[in-house]
Amino acid sequence: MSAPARPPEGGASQSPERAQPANRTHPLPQEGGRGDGSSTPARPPEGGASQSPERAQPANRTHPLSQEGGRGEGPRMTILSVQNLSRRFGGLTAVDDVSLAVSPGTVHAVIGPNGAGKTTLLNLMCGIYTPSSGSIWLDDHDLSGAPHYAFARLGLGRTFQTPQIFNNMSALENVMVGRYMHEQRGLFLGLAEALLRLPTLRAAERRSREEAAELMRVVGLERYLDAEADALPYGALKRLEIARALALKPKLLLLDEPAAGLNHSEAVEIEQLIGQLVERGMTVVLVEHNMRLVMEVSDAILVLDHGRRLAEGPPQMVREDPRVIEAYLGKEAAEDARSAVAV
Amino acid sequence: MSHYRSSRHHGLIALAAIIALLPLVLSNKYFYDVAILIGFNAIVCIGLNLLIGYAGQISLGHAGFFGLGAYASAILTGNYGWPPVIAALAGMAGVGSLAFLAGRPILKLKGHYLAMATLGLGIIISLVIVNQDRLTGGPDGITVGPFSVLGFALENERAWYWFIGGLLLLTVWLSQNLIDSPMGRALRALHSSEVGAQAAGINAAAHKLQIFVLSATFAAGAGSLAAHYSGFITPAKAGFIHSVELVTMVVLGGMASIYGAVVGAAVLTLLPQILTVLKDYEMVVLGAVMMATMIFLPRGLVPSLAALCERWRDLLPPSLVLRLEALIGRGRKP
Ligand SMILES: Nc1ncnc2c1ncn2[C@@H]1O[C@H](COP(=O)(O)OP(=O)(O)O)[C@@H](O)[C@H]1O
Ligand SMILES: [Mg+2]
Repeated sequence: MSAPARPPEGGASQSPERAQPANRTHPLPQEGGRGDGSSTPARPPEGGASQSPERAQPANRTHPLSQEGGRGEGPRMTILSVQNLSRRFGGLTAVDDVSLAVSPGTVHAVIGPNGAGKTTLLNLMCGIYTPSSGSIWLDDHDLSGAPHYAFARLGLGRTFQTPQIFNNMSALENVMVGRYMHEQRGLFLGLAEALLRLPTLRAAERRSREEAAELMRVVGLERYLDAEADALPYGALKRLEIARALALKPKLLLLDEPAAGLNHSEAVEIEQLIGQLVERGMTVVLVEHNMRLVMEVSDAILVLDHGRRLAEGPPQMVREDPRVIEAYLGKEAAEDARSAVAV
Repeated sequence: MSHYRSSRHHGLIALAAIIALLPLVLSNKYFYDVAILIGFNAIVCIGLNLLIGYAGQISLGHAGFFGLGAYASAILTGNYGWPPVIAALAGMAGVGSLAFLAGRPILKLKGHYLAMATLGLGIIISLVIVNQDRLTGGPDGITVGPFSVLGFALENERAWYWFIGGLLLLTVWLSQNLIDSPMGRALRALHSSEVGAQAAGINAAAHKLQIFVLSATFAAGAGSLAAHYSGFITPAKAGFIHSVELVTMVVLGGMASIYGAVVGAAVLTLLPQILTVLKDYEMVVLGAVMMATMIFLPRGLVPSLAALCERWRDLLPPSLVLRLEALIGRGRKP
């Protein structure tokens, strides 16, 4: 086995992926792995897979997924997994023991009332905040405590609730910044190349410009190809951020309220854009208040309330969950809804 | 963007033309002296503007780096007989290393705290220079021998003028190249939104450190040459007042503008010379001019005036604009 820090807790150990190169196997016990609250590495793997030699290594981190009961989907790959994640700010626990496993090619929504901890969860999942406890895995990299830019370099793109636009450059240059790590040549070689504007750099710049322009077309911003970033309307800024995140060529996109502040037709365009991205195999974690959009595009929904997991499942299930209705509408409304169902 | 690139060449050509034509009006040694001083200040300010204006990180200790470069040249050529070019390069390398070591902890700070820390660094440097009097001559300063490149000595003002003019053009060209590269975009990005930059995979700390080192190295190089040019160096050149003068030039000329740094250096080097006729009121008028500039042209001379020109351009009839642009050989993208 070549992956040194890979935890052996292979719930997927009997799957065909086992035979493939090490980096294909995911560290996490999958949905079927029943959390028994124990964190001892010696817990026998489900399915009785062979005891791998790594099992004995103390360095291995294992976190049985705390979710009760699998949904019987059997083992599958996970691109991003978050285990027992908590984050405290002083006395406030903004995210409280949340676990999440995101499968490739799916849209995983995170919803919840304002202040539920959705943005904090995204900030933990991309390294802006370091977890108070718990861990974050991207593919088979343990990124708990890694800096924000390291997540980006491993293929995690993200957009922000309040767009983080570079107002001191053009819209196109904003997207070109997203190509940074594909252009990066190391601090010294990169500096020499940049200062002297060597032909290699000129060619790379031309390519970057073309690719960035293409991405602006993908998100529907072709009108603004020559505009300065600070001249764009709010709705366009949201899409500019998506274009910049796509320029990373990410495996996974975290979108924080991409439709917030948009009118109906703009929100529909964002929905279509997310649909297109998923069709091309993108994985998305979506925080959004626009329920129509969430129900339309999501494969799974995690509901947070006061930092804790309230419910999780496919859209229809979450929509009808009385606890979710209660969190959103208050107790009385929830009771009304229940009695209405009873009648 | 081709608009940007072509205007970049126009700027360089215009600056080269000014440097080439200026000797026609430089009628005596004194005028040459002022022009050369402007050149030195402009080179330091361009480097400082990369740090302040583009990357958004303040330094109130840049005169310290300038002074260290100057003293490195003075001591290495004077006491150890090193060739001036080698001494200057060694000074730049030494100052770059110091900036690297000091910058790592300092650049974690932001805003006023960063200002305080760089201020402290500058003060420590100037204190060390004053106190190491066996090496530096202490508060009295130290004499510095003439500069020579490959056995060709810069003996008179005229030779220095062309040398510094060429060096200034080179500095402008290098800096503009940097700004318009992936690295330059990374710097501008982390200035505007550090979180957004990190989300694009940019290691903000590493880039801040890199531009801090580069900027300090520019200052050290200019310090070395300025020491050789004036033949004498005192600790005041490494002191706080000089640091503030440099930052003032950058702000007055215009943040995030290469030509702003050049114009700011020119104006604030020239004005005190012109205002000497006012004797006692010199500093009052200088202060008033600076305040008025910042009130009426808040982004600094070059960016604010450029914005004004754009606005006036829109007021003129388009046919006239086209003719004018054809005249100065500059087209604007639709
Ligand atoms: N940096 C921070 N410092 C202190 N408290 C924070 C910080 N970030 C978020 N919080 C708190 O954490 C809670 C969750 O916030 P947030 O994640 O932004 O919620 P949401 O995105 O679901 O609306 C809120 O009570 C908020 O005040
Ligand atoms: Mg939020």
